[in-house]
Amino acid sequence: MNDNRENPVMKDRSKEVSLDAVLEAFVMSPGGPSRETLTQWLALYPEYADALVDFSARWAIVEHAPDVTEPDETNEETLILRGMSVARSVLFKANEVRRTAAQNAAHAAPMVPAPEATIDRSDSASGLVGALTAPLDHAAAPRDAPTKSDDVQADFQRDADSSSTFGSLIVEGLRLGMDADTLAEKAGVFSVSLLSKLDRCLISVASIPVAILSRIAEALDRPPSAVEAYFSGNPRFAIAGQHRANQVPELPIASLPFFDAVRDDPELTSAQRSILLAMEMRSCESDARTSAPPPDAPAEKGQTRS
Amino acid sequence: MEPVDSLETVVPLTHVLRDGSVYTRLPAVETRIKRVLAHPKAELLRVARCRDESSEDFLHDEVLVYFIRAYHRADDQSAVLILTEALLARYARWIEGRLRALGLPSDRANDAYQDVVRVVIDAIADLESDRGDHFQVRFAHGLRRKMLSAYDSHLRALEREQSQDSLDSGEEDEPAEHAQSMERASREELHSSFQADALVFENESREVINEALSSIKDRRHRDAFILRHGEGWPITANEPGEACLSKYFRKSPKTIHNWLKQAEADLSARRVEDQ
Repeated sequence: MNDNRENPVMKDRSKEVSLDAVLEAFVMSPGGPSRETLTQWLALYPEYADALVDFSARWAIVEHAPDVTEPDETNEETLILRGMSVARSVLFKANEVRRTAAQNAAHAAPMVPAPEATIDRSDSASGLVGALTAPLDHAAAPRDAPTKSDDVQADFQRDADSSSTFGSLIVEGLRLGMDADTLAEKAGVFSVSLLSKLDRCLISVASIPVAILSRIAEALDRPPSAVEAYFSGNPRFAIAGQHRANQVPELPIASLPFFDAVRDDPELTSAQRSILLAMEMRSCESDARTSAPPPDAPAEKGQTRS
Repeated sequence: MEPVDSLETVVPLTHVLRDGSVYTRLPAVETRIKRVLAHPKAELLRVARCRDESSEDFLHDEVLVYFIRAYHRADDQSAVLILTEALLARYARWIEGRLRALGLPSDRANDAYQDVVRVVIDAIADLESDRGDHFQVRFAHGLRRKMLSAYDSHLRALEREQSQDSLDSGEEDEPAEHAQSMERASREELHSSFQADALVFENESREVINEALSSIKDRRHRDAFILRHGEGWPITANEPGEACLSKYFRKSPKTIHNWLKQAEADLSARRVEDQ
């Protein structure tokens, strides 16, 4: 909307206007919500007087209210991880809707010869079908060649049909109807932040307890070897919030030991941290007992492969 | 619906307002989108992470929203995730911090924060509608509105819980006092109070205001003080239909007056401590 023109909702009272439309127009009006503009809007929409007053007051209070600081306040990275977990879920569902719509359209359409290996991206349905039938189709992306950055990104479509490999723990969980919180619980890591580190392959695979690996495999209905292979992959993109200016984002070079990540995780409660760290204790005890284990000895619960 | 490829040319917004006009991006946003389109995707993904507004690389929020939609339409989810994360990184702390500043406890603020992310991304990613168009016009305003909606929902839930707790413990609010003091209070006297230092925030820095307001212990007192002295709201309405503190807080003018007095006292105590 152009800032210089009057707000259209203010011009036409001939039709009923929903509160939602009024508030949107109020927010987007040239002056934005303020005491001065509020007076005009109250005159125009007396039926929404209470809502407009409440909204304006909160709009102003949120501007000036002092920051609340607490010693245990959630750190920014955790907030971003949590937000991205939600965003992934929303985007995944949006893709599912589009996928279903494309499939329905394909079933409804008369059979015609397919064009020769071209994807018309101006047609969302055919573009989607193209993406669904190709693993990480960079040809469907605009113009340029894949970059290093692209190569390490999670993608909803990658390895969708593979039974032994997959593109992202979290996306795989979403496919199975689990959001990141649920998957974190089922995997026994409790924390979405910790799960995200695993998802991004930032944790040293050798340090991940077998019990955790097995629980993840079970939750995702995949063989443990597939999960282990996933964790052995390249680290994925770091948090955007860490790149504040003109830096090319750098991926961590050294993998983080699992139990160090547990110790540093701000989301874990002390009880949850204790449960996880107990695996380290068991692992150490096991190592001490069996300095030279037989090659076919089964892994104990909590044992790592270091 | 976007009729042409939004990764080849800038696609105009389509949300039609009641006068038949259509949302329009700010010229600077349009220009920036065109510049980005002229460069490889990798360059966009690099500069998307820049949060330094003074940098030449900095992209407006509205530009990021445009490309989230464009790459979502192109089924390039890698790019969508990177751009979404870049946008979220700019506001995650702000959203959660403001929700807590408004008075939500940490767990509620965290839930409300996730609700905000959900509705914003849902609107942006909805390619079958233009309900997210306003995020390409004034993203921060649209975000703030969604945040306030989430705040309202969680506040109502909290109030229901507290109301139940209050009923359980036999406490009552002040409805009788409210009605009586609306009649008793001398409006002239109340209006004359604080007039001299209204809008005291105008010449102060954010840090100074933040520090001063933090010394007001009761959140309702602080909110009343903000509206009175930051925004110039009167305690009672001068004219019918005018917004006022008494109406907003649904308390008597006398109560509001006392709140403001108490806020002043808290501020004075802080000044004494500083000296």
